[in-house]
Amino acid sequence: MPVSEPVIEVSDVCFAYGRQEVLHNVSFRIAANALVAVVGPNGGGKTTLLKLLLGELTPLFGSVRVLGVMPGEARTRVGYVPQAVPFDPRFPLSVSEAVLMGRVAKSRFGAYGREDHRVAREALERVDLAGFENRAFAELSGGERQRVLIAQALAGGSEVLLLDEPVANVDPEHTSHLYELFKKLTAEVTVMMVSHNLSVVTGHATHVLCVNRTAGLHAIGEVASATFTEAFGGSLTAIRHDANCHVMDPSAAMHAPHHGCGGS
Amino acid sequence: MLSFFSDLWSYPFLACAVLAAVLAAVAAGLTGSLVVVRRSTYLAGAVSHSILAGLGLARLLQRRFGIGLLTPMTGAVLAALAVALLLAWLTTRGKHRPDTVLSAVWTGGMALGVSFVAATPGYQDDLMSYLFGSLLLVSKPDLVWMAVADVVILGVMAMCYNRFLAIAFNEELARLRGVRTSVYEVVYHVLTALTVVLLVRVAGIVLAVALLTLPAAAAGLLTRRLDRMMAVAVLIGIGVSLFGLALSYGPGWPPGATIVELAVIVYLAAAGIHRLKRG
Repeated sequence: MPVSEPVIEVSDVCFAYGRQEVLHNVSFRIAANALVAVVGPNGGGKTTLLKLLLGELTPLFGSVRVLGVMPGEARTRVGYVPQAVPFDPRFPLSVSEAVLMGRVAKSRFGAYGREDHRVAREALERVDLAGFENRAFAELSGGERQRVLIAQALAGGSEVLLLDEPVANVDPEHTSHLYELFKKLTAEVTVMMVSHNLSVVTGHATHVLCVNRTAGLHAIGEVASATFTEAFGGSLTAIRHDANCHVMDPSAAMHAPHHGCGGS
Repeated sequence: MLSFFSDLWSYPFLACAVLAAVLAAVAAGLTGSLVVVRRSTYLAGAVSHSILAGLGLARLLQRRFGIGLLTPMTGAVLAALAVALLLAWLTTRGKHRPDTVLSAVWTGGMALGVSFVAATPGYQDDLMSYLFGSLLLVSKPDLVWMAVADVVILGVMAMCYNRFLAIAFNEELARLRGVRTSVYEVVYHVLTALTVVLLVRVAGIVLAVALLTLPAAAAGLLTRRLDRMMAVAVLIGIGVSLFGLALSYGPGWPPGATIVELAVIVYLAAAGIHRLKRG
């Protein structure tokens, strides 16, 4: 893919669950090595947008391109990290096995090869968990588990990381370490994360994508801290889950015609 | 118990029983570990109980229409595979509650089996032996297909272990990493069906699930990796099967039930060790 092409390109996307439209005329382009914080109220369409980028859902109108191709074709180059993995705490799994899962579809049938193990070790080093290989996944803290899942995505050769509220189950001490890690990773990959924490937006992200049935992308320099204070209420550290997303009037935007189908 | 070892070299049926117990334990250790970590014991229960429908239908067709090739065991294998594929299809489509589907297949299969047995002319005492196992009646042809099933299970498990582990850990993540999870779900269901049929020969329809899950559950308490859990489960399965067979032989106890009772004891012991280790 040429350097000038966006890593993620969403054009005039509309999506509905049955008759309930959740995204309307959404368009944005994300360049390589950006750290994009996706913000917005619950039910505003953030998770739906991630699923569209992963190819789990198909837009009604408009197009989604990831790394220059359809999301389904880019699936193994995109690493998705959920806010928490629901798993049995007694599930027998070591950290190295969890990271190697990133290469599960790339490896041949049978055991993982030397190259797989080398890449997995490197991925653990990149998330500052070298030496954790033989630890049980279940014994790790919430923050360490998120790092392992990120290492899993990196081991699979992900060029884009999609993180769904990655610090939702992480204690405050590890939260800042994780954000530092995301920032560090943007030297190699593009990171897009759903976040409810304003400090992320102002302190680490390069761009903010406000999603509230429509969407607007802003470089962090364009958004003054006063805008956040005004939009989300004083010194709150969490975005209030109401309709006051700062960039748009969703009710008016939802009445605009579909761009993707010739204004029908 | 001593009489068992002295008779082992004199009576071929005892050697067959030992071999059958070992073959069933290998399959149970491998597949059972996956069943336990995936918490899908109900799947094995539904397959084992619906086997009665296959056994009953095969015997009915044999008696009524003289189809000699359709032995009860063939009926059991075909019923187990059909039910496994049906369950894989129903549960992966996600349109029905899995527990409801499993309960319907479990009880429906059992009910059909009872009706087929009732409709078959003559007394079906050998079919009833499938309910609680008939380890001492295992024949050489039985051993051959049990060995073939073991080879298939071992081969598939060795080839697909990484994919099974990823799906068992988190199906969504495995799918997003590029694994064709729907294909492996079908393979997993078929392996479970094959293993359950093997275990029905040893412990019977009612107790097969215990032999599938208890050695694996005990191994899970003693190990922290799935591959080691499988290895330990195989060893526990072989141990309780052989010891149970030997123990039951002298007094004439039912070997399947004795083996399951020993498996329960081993599981409780493993739970005790696990608790002591955790302090």
